[in-house]
Amino acid sequence: MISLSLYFAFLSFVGLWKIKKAGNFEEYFLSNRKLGLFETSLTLASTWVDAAIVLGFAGYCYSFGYEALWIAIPTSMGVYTFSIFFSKRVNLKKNGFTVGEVIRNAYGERVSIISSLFILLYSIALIAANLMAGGYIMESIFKVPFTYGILLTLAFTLSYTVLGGFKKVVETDVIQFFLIIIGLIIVFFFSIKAVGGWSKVREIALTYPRAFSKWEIVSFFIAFSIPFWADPSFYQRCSAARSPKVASLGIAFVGLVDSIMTFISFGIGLAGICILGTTITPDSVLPSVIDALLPKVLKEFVGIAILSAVMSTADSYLLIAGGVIAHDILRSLKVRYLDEVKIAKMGAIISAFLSFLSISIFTDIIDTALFAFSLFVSSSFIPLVIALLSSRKHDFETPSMIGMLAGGATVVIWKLWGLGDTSISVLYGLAVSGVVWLLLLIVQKVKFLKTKN
Amino acid sequence: MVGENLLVFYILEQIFFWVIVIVLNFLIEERSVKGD
Repeated sequence: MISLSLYFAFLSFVGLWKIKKAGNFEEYFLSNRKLGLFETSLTLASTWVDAAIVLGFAGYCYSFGYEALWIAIPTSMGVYTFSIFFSKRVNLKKNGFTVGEVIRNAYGERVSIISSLFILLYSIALIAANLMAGGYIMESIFKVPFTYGILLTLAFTLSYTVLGGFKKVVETDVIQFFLIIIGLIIVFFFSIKAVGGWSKVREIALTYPRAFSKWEIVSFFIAFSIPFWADPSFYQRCSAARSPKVASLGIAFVGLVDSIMTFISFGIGLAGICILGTTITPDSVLPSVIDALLPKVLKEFVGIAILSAVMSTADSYLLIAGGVIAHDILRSLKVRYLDEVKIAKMGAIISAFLSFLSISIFTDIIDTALFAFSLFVSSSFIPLVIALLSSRKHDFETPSMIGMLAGGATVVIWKLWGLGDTSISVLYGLAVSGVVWLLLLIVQKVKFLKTKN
Repeated sequence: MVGENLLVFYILEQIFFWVIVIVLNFLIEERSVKGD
């Protein structure tokens, strides 16, 4: 508990020290586009390493051995292809630093508002997933009751995000990044040592049978690579980067950190088989390994490191949610009675409150993240890629709007009616969105040709 | 593709993409990327 109090005191010091009132929205949200390579890379990586990656992938390796890499391979493809094809374009878009704004510039206000509402829901669900993880870490390592743990995590993250904006998020992200890496490396070495070396980990990995069918692997390649081309935190960081090259290298650095995390999670997950047996809930493998192997002081330090991973993702999505409300929704609705920075801050507070309430609806971290992910991709992916790559955007307004609604609605219905595994819902959502988009475009063209004749 | 081959493929994938990133950002002339 002392270490936890010290960590919060330290974060408060960094978060609240030398707070300068943001003059305008661009300063609050993008730190005036002055982010260098070091800050861009670390803030991106720190946001990337979230509850799903830290807790979820270790659990996946525990369950499926080498086959878990069927998720890691497409994830890398998604990140690196964003770096190669999209990051520089996003950085150069001076009038489009949120996903909603890129869509507004391409299709107009109506499509932008719908897209922004989906992005807001996506952000709220991701904040909820990370708050849940914060609650579990507080409960298992620091013995703070679950709900109080969530409230503490939320209160501290919200305070420096709202008061300091993006600049403070970046400063705290840099500290949190090093904490996460050091903490997980400690757990990795303790785990490998406990099972008798890397050769033992390899031995365990080779005992797993094949886990996935060809079609499941195909769905992994679609679901775990394409979505990153539309990731709002990538868009925001690339817009804030000083130059296109900084944006591209910053995203590539995320790929590097992701591969390191993959190896670490792989080692911890498989060592978990030897240390804990085969009956542990996959999501709890990492905290259970920490609890079983580490001495008290180290246990608390690593607990703080994982809490950092959770907070650094929650802070980014709080900022994004506030930005979406102020910059994409209310501005599109011509609400101008308060300045944008104040609305963004109020938006972050409202989103935090909604995230806290939504925790009672979701039961599982990975499921919450998957739902968020599928909803966002199914609704926004097709219009966003066309907005970035095509020059004939005005033709696509109606198809994009209806396709977006159809894709998002498919994922919501899939989840609410329990039609199947959440991880597959992104395929159906994307398929519905794509088919509706294409059909409407054909109808539009036919109508145009008829009136021309 | 099964077992350790997956791990080898994953490592090769990392190397492949980093080579492309380095070539595009450092070794060839900055191509003009269309902004607003």
